[in-house]
Amino acid sequence: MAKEKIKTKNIIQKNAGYIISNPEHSTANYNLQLLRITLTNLETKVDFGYQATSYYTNGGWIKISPKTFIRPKGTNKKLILTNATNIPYGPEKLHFNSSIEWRYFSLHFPPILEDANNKKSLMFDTAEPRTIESIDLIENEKGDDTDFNFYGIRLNDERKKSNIY
Amino acid sequence: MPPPSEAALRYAIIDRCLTNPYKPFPTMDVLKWEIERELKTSVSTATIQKDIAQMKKGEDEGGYSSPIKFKRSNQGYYYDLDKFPDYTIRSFGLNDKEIEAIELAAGVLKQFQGIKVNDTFNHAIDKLFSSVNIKKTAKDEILINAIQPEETTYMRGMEYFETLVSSIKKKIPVSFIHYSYDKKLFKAIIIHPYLMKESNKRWYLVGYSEEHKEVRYFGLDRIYDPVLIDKEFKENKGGDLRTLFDNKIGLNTIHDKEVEKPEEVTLWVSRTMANYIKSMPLHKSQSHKEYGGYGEILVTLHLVPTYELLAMILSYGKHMELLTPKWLRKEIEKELERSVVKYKKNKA
Repeated sequence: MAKEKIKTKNIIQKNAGYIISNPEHSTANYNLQLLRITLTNLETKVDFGYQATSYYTNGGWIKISPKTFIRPKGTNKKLILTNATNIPYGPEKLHFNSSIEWRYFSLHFPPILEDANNKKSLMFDTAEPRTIESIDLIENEKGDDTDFNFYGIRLNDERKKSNIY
Repeated sequence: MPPPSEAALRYAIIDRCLTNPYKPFPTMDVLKWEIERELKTSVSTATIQKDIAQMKKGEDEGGYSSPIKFKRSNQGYYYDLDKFPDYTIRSFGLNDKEIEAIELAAGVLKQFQGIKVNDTFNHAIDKLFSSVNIKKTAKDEILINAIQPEETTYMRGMEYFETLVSSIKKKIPVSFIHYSYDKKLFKAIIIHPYLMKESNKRWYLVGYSEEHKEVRYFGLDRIYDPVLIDKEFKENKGGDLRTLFDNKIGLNTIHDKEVEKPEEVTLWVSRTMANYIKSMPLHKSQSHKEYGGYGEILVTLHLVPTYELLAMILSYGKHMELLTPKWLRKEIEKELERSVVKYKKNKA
């Protein structure tokens, strides 16, 4: 019974979501690339690629704060990280062995696309769902450039949007 | 590769009993006796009942859609041949020669079973082995040991093989993350997939890349997280893609794609290696002529120079020398000089 429940919960509705490939944002971080955002009725998933660097001994390390959140523009709502794939929660670290290593990882947040069929969000304090223009992804708001902070990640660029099959 | 599962072997025995015209309507006891005799192991009635139930299931559930019925008057089982004339799960009535040919092909296929392309495929091979010839495959593994293709090691990304082949078949574009070993950069790619291509034991997905606005190929080992996309499929208009790689050894050209073109490559081959090269050509464009009268040969190839060609020439060491084109000879010379410097360095 429990299994059945999980199975049902994990089904993404057909055409009930979209991806944004290589989204635009206003943050420069040469080692960390924001690659793709998947918005469905189940979650908001953000995919990253990290290239280890010779700046650090043996390529350095990465981790993600469990307090990392996304904040849709026009709201004060913070949607806290629900899961991280291929990257540990801090203070645990993933240590690279050399500067030629890389890591593809994903951060999972609650859905912002609650009205998935209309590709709109119900997060705003308005009667009607609205399209979200952009989001910020913040690991540490008062941090430095080693924190995984991305501002103004565009979600409304139609050229970069594709519906999920 | 392990022999077929015991269950698959039992299905084949049950099938044989049900198609034996001399002993129609085999009872449960007969089935039990036959299975135990063939497999030299005891089997319960409940197991055979489960086997029959499984055989009756559709192929999507791992069965054979077998029309098995029970006849009360004979207390035995039979295939409902009124609805399915000549039904059998065994190789559709193949003759011995045809079965032998399939045995050979199945032996070659086992290399793919090792890399676990997908469970359905493994199950299909399992079925094939068990239905082709049960006696050989049961315990003595005669067939298994008769053929030893080169082992294929697991390559990262093979877990996406089935999804990507299915997207090619159904013409569904795919979004995935690609990591470039050369540029050390990631990119989200949307591809309209056309072909899975194997080269030097690596698999590549070939298709129209929206990002690059042309047909590209991407190594499966560098692909992450494919997602099927709901958008109009861009058909391939560039001709038969399978011929795209005909004029190369490998895929990675030395020149940029814009200027790549086939060239005539001449190689000298020592008398030690000459017969090997003659008996198994390096490329389908290969021609050769004797050189000097002592067994050495000159080989001519007509192809696009690739890094794989370069690596292949170097792998023959002193037994192969590239004569033309000159620019490629210089490349090899530089490569060898670097190697010599490396080997001469006292690393200890």
